[in-house]
Amino acid sequence: MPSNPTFLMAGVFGLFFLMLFLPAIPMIQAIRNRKDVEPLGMDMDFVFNPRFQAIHFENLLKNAARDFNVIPLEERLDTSMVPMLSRKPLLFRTKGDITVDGTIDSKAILDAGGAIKFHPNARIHALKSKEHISIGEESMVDLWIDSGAEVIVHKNARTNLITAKTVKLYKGSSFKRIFAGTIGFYPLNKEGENKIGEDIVHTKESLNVEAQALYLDKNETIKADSSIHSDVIGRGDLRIEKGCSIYGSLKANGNLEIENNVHIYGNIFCDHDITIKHHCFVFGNIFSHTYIRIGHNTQIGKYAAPKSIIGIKGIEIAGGTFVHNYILTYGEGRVV
Amino acid sequence: MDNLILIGQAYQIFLLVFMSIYMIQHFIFTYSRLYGEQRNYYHDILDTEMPTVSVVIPMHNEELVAENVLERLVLSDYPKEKMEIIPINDHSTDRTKDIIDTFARKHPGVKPFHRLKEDEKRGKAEGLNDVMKFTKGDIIVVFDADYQPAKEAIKSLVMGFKDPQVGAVMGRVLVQNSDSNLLTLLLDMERSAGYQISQQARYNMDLIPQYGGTVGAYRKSVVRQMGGFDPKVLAEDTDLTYKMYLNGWKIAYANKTECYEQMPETWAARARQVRRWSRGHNEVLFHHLPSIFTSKYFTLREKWDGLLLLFVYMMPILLMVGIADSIFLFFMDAISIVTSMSALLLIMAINAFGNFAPFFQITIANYLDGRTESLKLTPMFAFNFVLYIFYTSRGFIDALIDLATRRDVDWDKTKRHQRKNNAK
Repeated sequence: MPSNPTFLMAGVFGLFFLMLFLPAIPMIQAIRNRKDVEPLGMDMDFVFNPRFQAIHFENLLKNAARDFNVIPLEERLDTSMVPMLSRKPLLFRTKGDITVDGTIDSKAILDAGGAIKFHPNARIHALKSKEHISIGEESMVDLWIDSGAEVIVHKNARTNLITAKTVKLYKGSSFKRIFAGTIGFYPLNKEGENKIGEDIVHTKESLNVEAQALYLDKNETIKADSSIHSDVIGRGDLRIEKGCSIYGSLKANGNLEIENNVHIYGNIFCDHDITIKHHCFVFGNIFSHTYIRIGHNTQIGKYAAPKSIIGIKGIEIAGGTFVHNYILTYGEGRVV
Repeated sequence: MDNLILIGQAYQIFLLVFMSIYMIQHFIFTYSRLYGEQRNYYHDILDTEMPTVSVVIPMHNEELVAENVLERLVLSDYPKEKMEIIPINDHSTDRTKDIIDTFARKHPGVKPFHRLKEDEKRGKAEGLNDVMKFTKGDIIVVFDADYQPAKEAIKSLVMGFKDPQVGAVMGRVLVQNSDSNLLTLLLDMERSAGYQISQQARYNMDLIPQYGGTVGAYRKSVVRQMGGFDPKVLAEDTDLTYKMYLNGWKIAYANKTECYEQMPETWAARARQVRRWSRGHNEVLFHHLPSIFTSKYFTLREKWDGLLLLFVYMMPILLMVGIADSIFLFFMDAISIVTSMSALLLIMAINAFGNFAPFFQITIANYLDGRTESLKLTPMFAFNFVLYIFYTSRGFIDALIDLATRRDVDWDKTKRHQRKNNAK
């Protein structure tokens, strides 16, 4: 070790500049190689709409002979029909109706011309049919169910993405993303319970509105049976008491709780949890950055006017609820 | 002299504290993007009931790119009956007028708006104000002429307005010509840091994502209520950002709504751009600084972020003074050899926020974007130092003169280049 402070200082500076210029070596190499300089790729035609994803599913099966090990079937698919060794993913095909029993290969797809019926505790990767599909109790479809008609998901069955005309989900079943004309959560409500809101609108004096929205600066409650004709924005938690009608959209930066028999003719957005209790009607989208819980006999959207329910972390929906068109969660969707 | 030395030393401490705050902020942003909970934009919402939209494209001498952007826009998946496309020909002297008129004859949804009167002042703010007087759309979507929006970009931007608290939406900008030369590649990497990390982290953390004036949209009624765009402010986008928050609105950031733009291909053009941005941004600083403290709509964290965002273009001149100060202290023997290295530290530190994205932030952003080899170019950002410190400081002085004289500002357009499409 040199004891002279000048040498020490020169050493420190030398080391400093060495460290400073060391990264220059790969830098110069990178300039000379000119790899990885292309603009970031952007898909000009990319669309989020799951309807296009269903088209993608159809396109995937167009080259079935090339990409899959295609196995023709008659009326039944069970574990004994799965080949021991296959280099390509399996595609089971039938022109008519078929029943599925047991755990099929984890990458297998079933493409049926007729209806598909799952026995309880069956499992497959993906299903496609132009007719009805019924998923038995405790069964599981890992990736995709695509039907041109109705999909019924029985008790405690587990699904991922469903694209269909109509979807019925029974208590205990789960999902991630559903796109359908009507989505019903069973057991069904009694006749007449699932009313559309116009006939039970209460008109009371509207609250004070700041500029374009009713602006609530902290945790607030909107009193029972109020009728508000504007958007409502709550900077904290927001609670809407029973019987209220809101002719506008709702936004809460905290949690949002909506009690029984509330009618909202607009969208609901919330930075935290949304809880909608029973017998409510929402004619708009529902979006939460966390969880959505919807009680029984609630209706979201109207037929042919598609709306979305998106709960990023999870969705819980009780029986008797109807949703028109789209449900998505990146967590777990459950019917309770 | 003793007092002068004391002031000089105090200034050094102030500057190092100020720089550290920015550095910590960038660490937090990067951490949020890497490990934090990501806040989703509203891309996933499907809704058939969409508002009416006017897509406006301010153009001044854009013959090289005018047709490209219009071609992309007519391919949009937004319902045609609810959308109008309005290219604003702002006193162009080249073939822009002919190009957009010819295009409009083939596409009925395209309605050109020519600003050609001699007594009219040219400028983006003026163009946007004029167009708001007659547009049918409830939502105005703005693209610059060199942009290439994807098919779903408009729908995705407009979906943000389903949230009643959102006053404006900003999408992500990708550089189209990053393969042109080293400068454009570096700018592309820098852009990644700005959008992939700063903007998304701000959105994650409920801070202030910036409206960038293009690949963006705003509620017409709100902007009109605010008196439109101020023609005396060069950075109408930053001005709108602060006006929105001062009036209780939020800005949503759509990271997946990507759009290509062209970056300057020469250092001279980049220098002019940086100077213009700095001038405009500092004008906004002078204009809105007091209101941030008094506004009831800003939360505490928004105030904090809003202030840091406002001061970002003021830092280079503060650093320049800091370097001069450290040299002065060194020759006055009022600073030890270790602390006199603060001049070097300042040089390094300018890269921490002079370009608004420190080394680590640029590296992580490009890593998230899937780049590998070009990460090795990160040290090249040190060379931006001279350019940024000089031209950003000049922009600051321009803004000071604007403030003192209330002179009019002239829009200085970035040079365009004709390019093939990079789209997949």
